[in-house]
Amino acid sequence: MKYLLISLQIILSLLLPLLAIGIIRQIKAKLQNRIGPPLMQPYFNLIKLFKKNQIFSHDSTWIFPLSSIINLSIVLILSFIVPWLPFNKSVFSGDIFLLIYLLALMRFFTIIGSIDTGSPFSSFSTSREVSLAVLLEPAIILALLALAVTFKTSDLFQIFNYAYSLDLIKIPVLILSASSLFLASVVEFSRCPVDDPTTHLELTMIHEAMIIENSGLNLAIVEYTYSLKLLLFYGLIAQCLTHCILIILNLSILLQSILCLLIIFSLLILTSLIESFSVKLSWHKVPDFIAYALTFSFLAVFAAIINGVSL
Amino acid sequence: MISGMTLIIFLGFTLLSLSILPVLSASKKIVKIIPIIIIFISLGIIWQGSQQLALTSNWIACQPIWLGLGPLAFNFDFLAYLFILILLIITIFSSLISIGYLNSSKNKINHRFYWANFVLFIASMFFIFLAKNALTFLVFWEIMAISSLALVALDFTSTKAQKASLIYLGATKMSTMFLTIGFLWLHQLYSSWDFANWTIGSNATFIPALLLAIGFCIKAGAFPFHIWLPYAHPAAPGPVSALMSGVMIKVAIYGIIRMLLVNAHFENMFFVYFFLLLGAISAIWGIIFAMIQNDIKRSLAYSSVENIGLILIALAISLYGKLTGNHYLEIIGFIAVIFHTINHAVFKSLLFLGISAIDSKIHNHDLHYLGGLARYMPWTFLCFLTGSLSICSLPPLNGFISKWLIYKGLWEIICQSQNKFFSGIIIMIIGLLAMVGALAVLLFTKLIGLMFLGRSRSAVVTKASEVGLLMRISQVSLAFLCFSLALFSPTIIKFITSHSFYQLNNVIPQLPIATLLIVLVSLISIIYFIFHKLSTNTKNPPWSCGALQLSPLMQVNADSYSYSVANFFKPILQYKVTTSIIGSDKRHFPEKIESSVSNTSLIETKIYSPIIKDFEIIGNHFAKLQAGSIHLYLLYVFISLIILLFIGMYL
Repeated sequence: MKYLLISLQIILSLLLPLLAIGIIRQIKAKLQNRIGPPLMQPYFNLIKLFKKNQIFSHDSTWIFPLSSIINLSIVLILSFIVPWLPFNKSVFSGDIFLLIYLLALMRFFTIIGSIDTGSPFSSFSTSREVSLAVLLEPAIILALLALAVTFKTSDLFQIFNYAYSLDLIKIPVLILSASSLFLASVVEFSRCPVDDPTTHLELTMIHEAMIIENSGLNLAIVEYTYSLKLLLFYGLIAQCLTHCILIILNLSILLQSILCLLIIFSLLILTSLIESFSVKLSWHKVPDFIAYALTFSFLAVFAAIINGVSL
Repeated sequence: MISGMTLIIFLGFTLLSLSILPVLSASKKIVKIIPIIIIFISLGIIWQGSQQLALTSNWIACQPIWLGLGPLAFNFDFLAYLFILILLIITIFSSLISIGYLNSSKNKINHRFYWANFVLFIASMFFIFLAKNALTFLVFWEIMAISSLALVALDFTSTKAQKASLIYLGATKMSTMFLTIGFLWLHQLYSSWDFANWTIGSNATFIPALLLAIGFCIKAGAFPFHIWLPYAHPAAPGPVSALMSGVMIKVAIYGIIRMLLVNAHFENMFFVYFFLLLGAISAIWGIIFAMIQNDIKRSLAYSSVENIGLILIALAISLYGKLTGNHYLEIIGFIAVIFHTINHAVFKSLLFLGISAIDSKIHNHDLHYLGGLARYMPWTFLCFLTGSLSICSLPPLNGFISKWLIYKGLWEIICQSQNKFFSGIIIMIIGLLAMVGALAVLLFTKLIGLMFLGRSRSAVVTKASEVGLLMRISQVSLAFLCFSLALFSPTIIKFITSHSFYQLNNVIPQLPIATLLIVLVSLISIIYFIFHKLSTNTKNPPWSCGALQLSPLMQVNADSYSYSVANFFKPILQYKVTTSIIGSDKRHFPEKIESSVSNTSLIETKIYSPIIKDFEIIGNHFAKLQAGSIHLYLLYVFISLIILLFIGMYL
């Protein structure tokens, strides 16, 4: 049974991420009165990119092609560390500190891969990316820590092990952490209003400018890595919210999974709504935006401590 | 039959006396033999030490060798052996790299002078770890200070080195002063110089303990006593920086462990808060200043401040465990201290050796003039990358394991503490450490990116070539050590706990880091080989909006990379950017654009400088006493005679 679930998880982590990107684009198109690309367009893009020739910068070394491969490997490992669906089983470890530092490892390789190209656009965007990370990482770790303190374990799989408890006092922590993680995800994935992934102004972009030199197969890997990471993050947020409901209602594992997928879907809708109704913030305002995420984390920690910390 | 302890002491004294060799003989061959002898003696001590780990042995010098008030006495135990192991491993690689470094150095370094002090420096640290009483400790502490000072002042004709050695001398003397007062005080209380007879911790010993803590923190370079580090490291030759940053500041950590952790029984939480506060501030302060430096060695010096901060936090965890009677927490903290000390010694030395290698080829460690070195020095690049990943404490390398243990320890405090306020503070410290981690990623991507990747920013770089075999071997071995310390971390943790003073009751939490490493490497290689076959590639210049040929100066540079983050911390850094545009039509046709960045260390300008200035003023007033006139001096003699007579009458 366990192996069946793990293989189901692997299949989902291969198929769902690009679908999520497709959903965001489709909904955005509908909101803007466009027909929009078909839902499966990200898959077609991926296949197209696989067939294409890769172009490397003159200045790049082996780091550039390898960094995207390393990041793909890390994100695949992350899909086993983050319990992004209710039926995920701990095969390895679900330690929150490991999670944070694997994310940092990904960031490290993304950055040195971009600087390696010698392109002014990508190297300047790395500077932006890493600056935001400085503010973002405390926000993420504090949000996760609030959960850890509430559930008295630092293992994510034990945090989300679905005990029906009617312990209503946990709900505020879960909601605050989820909101903090959602705001953090906007920054982490360079979505609007922090960064507009669809503009063509390389000078102001963060993520898109960083991967400007990637092409062909390399770009396909980067795109897939990005979308899987997005899905893992949204899965984590959805887990928090599902758990809120589970504290009140006792649901079977199948219903939990469906609920979790629905919440991921609504988060995707929320993302496309935000992207349709907001404009890109000026660079100087972005730290203020992260400050909201940090504030939510602080509040979550506060709620968790008030809740009681001693085991 | 000589006992093992005697053999160790004998080897140590051989090492010490080796320093006379280059002084006595002027021949060039002597200089070549010394590193070989150092390596052999080091290996001998490591082997002999491992033979007698189980027992604690003493060695007290016979009567004629007497340090005034107490004997020259040594004590060998597991804690000492751990630190000796760190020292000697770094020594081996550092002396290997010294050979190549000295030969290619641009400045005329006196080889004999270098080796004499180098040997003295190592031998003194070796004996500090073995010291049984305060007098022995202080004697070798001073030898260590003086010999390292001589190495910092090696290039004494440059004003930079002069300033550096003056600041370093001041700092190290202050540290000795605090230690001496502390030791004298404790001697007064216990009427013994022997460390074993002291039990620090009661309220009576509070002030001497504080003095010792401050003295050691000065030497360790913890906030706010860190200002000597960023001066001393850039001035010292690369291999010496590796030893200073990798081992010398750990000598102070050893002192703290020995006196304030293992042998101490505190009654209140003061020292927990003290080390926690100092550690947290050092960590964030060090890394903030590290990330805006343009001199690589200065960055690494500040990053040492950060790592000392982490070690102090781990110490506080252990101390907290000891105070609250939580054995498990005490062990986690202790392992974290030792493990991070080992790790920091390994990766910081690795990074400094990498910089020595670059220095020996390019003679420049300013980030503005480097770039693209990965193509010319592939081995150095690979080793520097390993060191960087490790120092950013990224999994699956050794730095992560010790940092993870620190996080685990803090987490355990949160779980145990009854005090909600204290738990809140600990959670905030975890948040702070996450920020420190992100800043470390910033710093080391900056170093890697601007030194090794992208396009070369000056012509000198393109003429560089890979360093010689010896330099490569020592770098690769240390990089290899980074991996093996991570892979065999369960064994090492078991090794630390099995021999130490603690009985292991609970199982230390461990991550399956070996599995992680294997899975990661195999995933990377599988993906690589699948895609390698699929793809064809061509090389083109990077995207430039179809306009012009890109100049290397258009890439991000040292100042612009950290500009945004430096703005976040503007008040701390006193960060200022000044731009001037020259030209008749400035707006449309600038002829020359200049931009410069400045920052000042507030601690230096607002606290230390005024104090030093006041001392200078007072000193100037006192100087008037010594006016050079015989009459005045005769008057002084006369006055003091009368005063003495009066005192004599009444006593």
